[in-house]
Amino acid sequence: MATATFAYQSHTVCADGLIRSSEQRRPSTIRLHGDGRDRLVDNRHDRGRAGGDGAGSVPAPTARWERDRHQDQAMKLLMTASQIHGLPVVTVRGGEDVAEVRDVIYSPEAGRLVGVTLNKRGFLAGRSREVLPAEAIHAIGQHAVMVLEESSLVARDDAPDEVAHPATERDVLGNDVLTEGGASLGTVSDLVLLVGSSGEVVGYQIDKDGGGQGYIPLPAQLSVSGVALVVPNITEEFVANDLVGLGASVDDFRARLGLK
Amino acid sequence: MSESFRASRGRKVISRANATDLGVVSHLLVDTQRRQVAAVVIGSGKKAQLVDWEGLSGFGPDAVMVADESTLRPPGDDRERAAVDGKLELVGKKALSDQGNELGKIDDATFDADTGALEDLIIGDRRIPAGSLLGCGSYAAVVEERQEGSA
Repeated sequence: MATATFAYQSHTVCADGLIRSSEQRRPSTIRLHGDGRDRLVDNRHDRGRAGGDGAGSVPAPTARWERDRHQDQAMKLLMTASQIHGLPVVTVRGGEDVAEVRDVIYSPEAGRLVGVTLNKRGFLAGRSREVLPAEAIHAIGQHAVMVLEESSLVARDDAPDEVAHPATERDVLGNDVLTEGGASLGTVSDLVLLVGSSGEVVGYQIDKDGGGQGYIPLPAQLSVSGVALVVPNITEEFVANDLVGLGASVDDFRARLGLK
Repeated sequence: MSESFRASRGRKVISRANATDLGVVSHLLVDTQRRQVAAVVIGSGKKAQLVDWEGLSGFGPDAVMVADESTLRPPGDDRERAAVDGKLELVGKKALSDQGNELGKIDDATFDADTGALEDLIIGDRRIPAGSLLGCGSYAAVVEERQEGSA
């Protein structure tokens, strides 16, 4: 059974094959969604997978990735950032929907979700002044992002800089994915996260050069330039067709890189 | 005796003092921390009133008995006003696990008619013990996922 110890969280696989800690680098953040282009990604995504979940609705994820149930009964779920976008933020103790997810912000170096920005719910919809740092998230599920109480939302000014003011200059969406050997695998179209109470980035969804969509596992990212990202050659063998396939291949991929 | 939320809706509320009909049960307000029926809502709209569970002399199968009309009171806070409007009604509410996964709509719930203690939430053919209820608001009732087993 996969008792994944996500050892790569704080490491970056470098071009020479060595694994270096990235902790000393301040994680840059990347914003997904929230402008016209990101919605385009959403639509593409829906068509490709769900086959016509109306625009604006949140497609149900098709993959569940379970760890040892005896050890950890909570479901392990892979979701794309597009699927998280628009989810209601609900309080565990209050049962109230206090906001909804606007942008998913993550650190490519740390391979983690750092937080989400929020929209208000209902007819007064619009950007919320509050944000939700990853630490304040109780869990992310198929239908909601859970927080303990409304006070878990943090005013932008009081939030960590990387959540409050995400850097946009190194957006990976649309980046070419190149292997170290120089083969292009496609362009990044979405981000795949291990949700539940984690919030770890485990892969990217790509638009393959030959057409269609694929999913590549992380840690695969050698450097992010805002133009391209370079991944190990073996990534090519681990391109999955769907989230289920990605869930299955992530562990093997890690093992092959010596990161299990 | 176990009582059902759904079945108790519409039940007559009778004053023990003079046997007058004070209205019918429209909602039950649940205290999610104590997992207990906190109050009975009588009637609806602007005229709706509440009786605290402690103010009941009996929650019977045919009528809910109260001492007299003076035990009825208007809603006192936002939560009670929401309850009177039916916004906190458990039955029909979306059930959401604390892991953010929907479990379905709550079809019914049961409670002990003697003590008011919540017993089970019924979702389809599943019974979820009330002990796993974490909160209930206008959007959803939140239950602990572990108790719920496989989804």
